[in-house]
Amino acid sequence: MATTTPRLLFFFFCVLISVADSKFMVYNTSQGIVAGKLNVHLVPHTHDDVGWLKTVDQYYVGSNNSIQGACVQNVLDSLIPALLADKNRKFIYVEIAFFQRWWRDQSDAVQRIVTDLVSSGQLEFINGGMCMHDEAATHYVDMIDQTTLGHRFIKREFDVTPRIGWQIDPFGHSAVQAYLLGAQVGFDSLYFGRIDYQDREKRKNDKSLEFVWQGSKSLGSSAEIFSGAFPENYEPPSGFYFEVNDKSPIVQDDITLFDYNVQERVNDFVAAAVSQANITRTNHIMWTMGTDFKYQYAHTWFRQMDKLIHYVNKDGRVNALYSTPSIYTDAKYATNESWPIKTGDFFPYADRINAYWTGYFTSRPALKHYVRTMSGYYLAARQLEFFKGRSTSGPNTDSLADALAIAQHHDAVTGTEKQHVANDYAKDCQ
Amino acid sequence: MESEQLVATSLAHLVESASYTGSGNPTTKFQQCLLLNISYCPASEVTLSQGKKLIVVVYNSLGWKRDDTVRIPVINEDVIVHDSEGKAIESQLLPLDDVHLGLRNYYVKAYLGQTPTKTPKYWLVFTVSVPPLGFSTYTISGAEGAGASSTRSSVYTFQSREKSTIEVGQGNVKLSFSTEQGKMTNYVNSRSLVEESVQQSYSFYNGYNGSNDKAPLIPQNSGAYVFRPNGTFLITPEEKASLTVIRGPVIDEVHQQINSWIHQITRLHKEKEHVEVEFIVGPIPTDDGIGKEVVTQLDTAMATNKTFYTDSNGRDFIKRIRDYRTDWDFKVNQPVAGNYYPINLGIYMQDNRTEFSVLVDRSLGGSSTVDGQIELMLHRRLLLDDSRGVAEALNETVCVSDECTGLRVLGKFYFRIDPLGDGAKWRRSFGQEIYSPLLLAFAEQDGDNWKNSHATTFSGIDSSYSLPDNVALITLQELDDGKILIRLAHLYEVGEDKDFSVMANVELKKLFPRKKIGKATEMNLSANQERTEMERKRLVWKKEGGSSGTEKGVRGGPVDPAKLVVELAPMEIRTFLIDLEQKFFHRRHHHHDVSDV
Repeated sequence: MATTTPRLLFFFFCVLISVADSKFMVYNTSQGIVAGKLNVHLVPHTHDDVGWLKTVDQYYVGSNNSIQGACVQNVLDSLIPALLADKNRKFIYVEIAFFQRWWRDQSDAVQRIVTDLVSSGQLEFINGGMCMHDEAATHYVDMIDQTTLGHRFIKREFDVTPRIGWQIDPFGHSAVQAYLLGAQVGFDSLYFGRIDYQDREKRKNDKSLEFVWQGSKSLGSSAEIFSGAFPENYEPPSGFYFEVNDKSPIVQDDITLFDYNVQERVNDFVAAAVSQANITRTNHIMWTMGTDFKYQYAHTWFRQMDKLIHYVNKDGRVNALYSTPSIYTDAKYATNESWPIKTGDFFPYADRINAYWTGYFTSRPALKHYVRTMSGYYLAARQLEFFKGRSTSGPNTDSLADALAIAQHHDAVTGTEKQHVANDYAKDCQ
Repeated sequence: MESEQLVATSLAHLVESASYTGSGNPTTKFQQCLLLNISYCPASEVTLSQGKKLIVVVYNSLGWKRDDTVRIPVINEDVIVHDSEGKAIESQLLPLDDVHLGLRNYYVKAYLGQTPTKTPKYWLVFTVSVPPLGFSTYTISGAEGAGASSTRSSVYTFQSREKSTIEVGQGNVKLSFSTEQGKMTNYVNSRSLVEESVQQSYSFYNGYNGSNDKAPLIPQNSGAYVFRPNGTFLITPEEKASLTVIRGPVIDEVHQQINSWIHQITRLHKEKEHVEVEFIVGPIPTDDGIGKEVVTQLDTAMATNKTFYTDSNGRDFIKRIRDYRTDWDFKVNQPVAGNYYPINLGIYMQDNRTEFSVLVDRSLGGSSTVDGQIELMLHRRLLLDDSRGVAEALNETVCVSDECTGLRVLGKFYFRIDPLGDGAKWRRSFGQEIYSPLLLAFAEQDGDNWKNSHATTFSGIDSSYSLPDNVALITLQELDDGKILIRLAHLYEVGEDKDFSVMANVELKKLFPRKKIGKATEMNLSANQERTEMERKRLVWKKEGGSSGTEKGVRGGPVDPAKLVVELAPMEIRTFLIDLEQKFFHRRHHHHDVSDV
């Protein structure tokens, strides 16, 4: 194929000349909610497991990448300039075990910038516990403790209180999560990804994927919470994945280049939006723009979403906007729609026929016992620490608090992590 | 572990405060035994001689006085146990059997790199009484020839050929075993007059291997996430299976080797009305190339009408109906796996006379796949990945000197049978005891001066006070800003118990007897905003059918800042940040405080 090379080079040369004539393109990303249109809330997010295939440390620094290319430092480092580049861009961050480490690594200057991004609402803490805890194998006292640890960190550093529960990956959902770790925490809504496939089909048909969940018979409507199960999962619609090496077609809007595809991409967008709108009450739908450990180079996502918002809104059939679960929740609330009531819980979970996720209720029974033992020990140790008087210099319970918090993660106490990661959780608790 | 040091130092402060004269660190060095569950406790495995005594400080983190048993391995064959007041108390020695010793030696080698140098011969068991949020002190000494020493248990082993029924239990509950079948047959409580035929057995499911399934079947193995059984197999006691009965004044035990890899002890404490079952399961054999998931089943004749109840994260119980879902017309394709639910606290079932409750010591899966039966999955070892991302088979092993064997799991579950409607009290109060076991700290004492120089009892709350039976203190913590975070949890649901499903009151002042409460601010659950602020912002959503048919739910009222009494409605948890007006450990007053208790 060597003979074709000179011609190709010549061809590229021509293209480059014509590119030199193009101008800086300003994408209009400022669109808010538009009444009377279908509003597609693009919610940029990353789902950062606090340990699973790699240990929590390996995920943070990005080591052991032969197992999984994942580095939380990359996500947070690249996120800040990406948000600064356009004040309409938004992002949510969820797992405080990671965020706290990163925060402590930052200079005063970066910390000031991040504080401003949080105050302006461009960066919003969602869920806000140290991890996204499991809901089957966890004890309520541990769920409360790990949530408190994250929430008080956020309050202390940023003076904000997370508004939204975001349990997008746990394998089934508990009543206690809804009424206690949701409503009693003060969350305005709770979103999640995994419900039984038969239940999901029925809810799609009934437009009941979103509902008011009354998880407690005793506390009734005083502890209810608006909840939403995603139509498929916590990822973008098919064809809208924009990590560096993802296969989805990017929006190619330079008319002088090959593969110009603006209209096709706008059509894809509108089609996916309408399909979701058909199973959703009100004219607001949420797209979860991200998945596991994405936004390692945050620009790749924002660049495409900038263009999609710009061209979709120019097209005008639907309205696309940068959003967060809080903005989405407020929009839902403002519609004054009536919602079905859900009681009980979402166990057990099956993602398809013959696939009940009920093995993990018992998987790694020794780790489960260790976590439960440490939980009771931590409760007693804090009492004794109080009787003696808390010491900042001498031994205290802080390291156990951190270790127990991450052990509640939905790939930790669940027993669904790799063996080397299970060993790491146990070591942290020692 | 840093918290272990913290616990040791805090207890040292508290025991020494009676004689505390100046600043500086306490001199008492407490040891703890975090591997006590595998019968390993170097601190208690000391030879008691020539006046050398073992001091055991027993801390109770629950908000009410507690009577419980302590169980530790000991070397001496004759010991005597004295309580905080110096009174000799009843105790019992039980032989430390080969199965537990083998487990201990192997796992200590695996975890710590060295086989223990000593071999304790006995478990010492005695009953303790401990004040709320406080400790009592027990002294164990050698008792050569002295009176009132520990009672050695009687031990009798029945061979499987012997046909007889034995009855065990020194208290209200008695269990019968058939020596011929090698299993439990009957439960009777002479106080509540409940009697029920109960049979317990072990089975395993073969893990499904879907690797050869062709379309339209979707290959699906049983794995770390997914439970997909391929046939169930009853584990029948082997021919030579024996049944050993151990009896004594505190506890009766029945030891059974179910097969070569399942061992169990059934215990009855004299003062308790529940049955404790300790199991050792594993290594689960996989030499036939098949992964296995091991369950135990408790069978009764109860007509339970497909219905059972499981807890939500250790809190509310939710009604489950076999092969049924509330929200849709359920199509059953996995009659076992699809009826499994998570269990953190317990599972129970009822008929028109009785209720049968089982409580657990960790989270696990369970079900009632047949009327009158409760099933718990105790352990699983699988050889295939279930294609949900982890890409590893759940095949846990433990290695010593590069030789690995399948993980053995030691655990406990507890069951009790009550008249219908009476089970909640045990599930809730004993559930708290399982979650918060007594914390043991050990010290050695030469001579006779511990009592003279140490406080032997302590309670962190007012000595005349204890929390109501339906309330638990789930957080008491000094935060880094000096504020005190406390959470009080009502333990009962509406309608769960005729006595305890009512509004409860807690006197905050009594929880801080040595301090004045400056201010108590009610917070949301995660303590990042005031509760009033949270309630003010709360969105009120419109619901289909209006608010008809939905209960509003009862809540405790606001707290009067002068009285500081917290009302708790059923299932309510209330969170407070408290400013205390003086530093807690004021030395001068402290002497007086502790010796007062």
